[in-house]
Amino acid sequence: MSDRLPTVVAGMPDAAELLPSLRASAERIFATHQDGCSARTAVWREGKRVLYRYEASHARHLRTPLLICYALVNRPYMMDLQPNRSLIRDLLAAGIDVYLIDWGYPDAADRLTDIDDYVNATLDDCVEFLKGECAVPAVDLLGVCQGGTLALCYAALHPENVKNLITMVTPVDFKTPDNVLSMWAQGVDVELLTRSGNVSGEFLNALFLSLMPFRLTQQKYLSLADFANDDSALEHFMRMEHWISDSPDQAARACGEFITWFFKENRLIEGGLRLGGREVRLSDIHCPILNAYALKDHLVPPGASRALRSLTASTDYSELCVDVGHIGMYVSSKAKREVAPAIAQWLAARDA
Amino acid sequence: MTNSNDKPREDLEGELHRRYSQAFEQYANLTRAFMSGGPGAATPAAPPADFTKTLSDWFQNSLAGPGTDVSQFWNRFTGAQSTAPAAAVASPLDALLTKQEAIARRLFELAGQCQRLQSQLSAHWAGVGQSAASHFSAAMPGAAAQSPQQIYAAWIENAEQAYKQAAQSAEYVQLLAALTNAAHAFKAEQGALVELWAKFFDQPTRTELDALNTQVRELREQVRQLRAGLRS
Repeated sequence: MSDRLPTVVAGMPDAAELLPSLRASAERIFATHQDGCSARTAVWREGKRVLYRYEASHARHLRTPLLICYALVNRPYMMDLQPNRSLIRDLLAAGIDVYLIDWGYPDAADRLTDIDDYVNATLDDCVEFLKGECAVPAVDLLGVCQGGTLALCYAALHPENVKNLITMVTPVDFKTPDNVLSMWAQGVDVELLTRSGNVSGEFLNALFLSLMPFRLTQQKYLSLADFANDDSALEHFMRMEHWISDSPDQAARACGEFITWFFKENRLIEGGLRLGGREVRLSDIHCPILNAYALKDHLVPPGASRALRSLTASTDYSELCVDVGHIGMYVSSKAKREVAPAIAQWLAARDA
Repeated sequence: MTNSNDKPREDLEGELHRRYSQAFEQYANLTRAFMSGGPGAATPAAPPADFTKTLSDWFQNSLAGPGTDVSQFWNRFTGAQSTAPAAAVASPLDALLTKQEAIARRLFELAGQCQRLQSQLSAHWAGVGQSAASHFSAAMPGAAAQSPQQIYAAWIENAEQAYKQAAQSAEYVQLLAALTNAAHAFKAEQGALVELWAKFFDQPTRTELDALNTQVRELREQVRQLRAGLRS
């Protein structure tokens, strides 16, 4: 290829030169297990959904277990991507007993699964299991992105079960003027979508990338040239890429409900959201809340998360604003310095 | 079903290799096209023709990626192939013909609609690319003084801004929704066709599987309620 390139790119490795480094990194990544880097045990399971408990690396100081409710649209191992970029490890190191729900990979058998199933069945089953297992009256709940929206619904419907609530990059107001995804969703025919079956993860992934296509599908890959001789950076890059492409399909009914109730009708703000026959009112949440959002989030604009501050009845509401992007909230070095310590400190102060 | 454990590692390195090659080539092409009139020669009034063409292509392929057929990109998500209805219509089984023909006609209509909408989307991005070319040239009169990397970073920044503006326009939002809906309608009609065939050959249909699924869900809910009763 080099002879066809102008001299301005001289000095950058061409693709053939880069291949050996890519291959070596891929071999290292796939030699270890791929669903995160920390030891964990499945403690509850129903169908494809599994509740994991992470093995403690330090003595557990907090009495209340922390349950992580991740989004449905990506795999949860982003929270435990690699040893030096693992929010879960940092929380364990702070003495927190960490549990995580893995929603699995929905297939055609799950097309009728709805949001009520996720919130009032699986999430509630996991909470009830933890209450019994840890002998506590309520758990600490950490909802991430879309999982934060589900966690808010759960905390509103089952306030007695949530001691402290943390939302991370969580959309609450789905109609802020800078929400491009929401604009695109308005014209989607949800009845057709639901009838045509599960929504492919590949499609959703392309949709997310198309929010910033030049950066995310081109410029980012040129940065590989800088990593050619840096095994650690290249490995991190490849783990991220693996995670990005590993998007589960979405259960048709739940996806349709999410688009209608949240993106189109903005029911957390406008009201009228009902799950399991009961109305979801954020004003029913009284527990302490830590709302963490990313300043440069292109998926969940900061305003979409900040809307929470005036909607609950909590008298102990705090915000954690981090100057990173959506994904940077879990894996950036800035987040490592700021997010886990802030969460640990906040929880410790409310563990009595 | 997507499952990380099923994916050979070659997928990852191969994909990254392809992405890097494309980005690398795009970077080179943009640079070459921009410099085609001599370094810094581009003016707001007349950006080099090659540059305008390269940028238009860039925008058209922004979603599917350089060198990717945009219609194939959409077809991948629907599993839709324009030849599928034709093959189905060729069936000799008369009992199914009437219903099948109706579905096939609908599939053809939807395939045509998808293609029209894809063309409109391409035209939309071509227009955005052309106006962006002038904008970029105007924004960087002193390009000769900057490194190629700086120029490229500026293009990316400008391209994202132009893209975001265009992607929020009513025209684009309507087109995208229309294409998404047409693709889903296509997929749903395909499902209806498969349902007919499944019934004919005494195979489980989607409707029957959904009914079973509903029963399982109801049973599971009853178990949950019993468990909750035991807890209390």
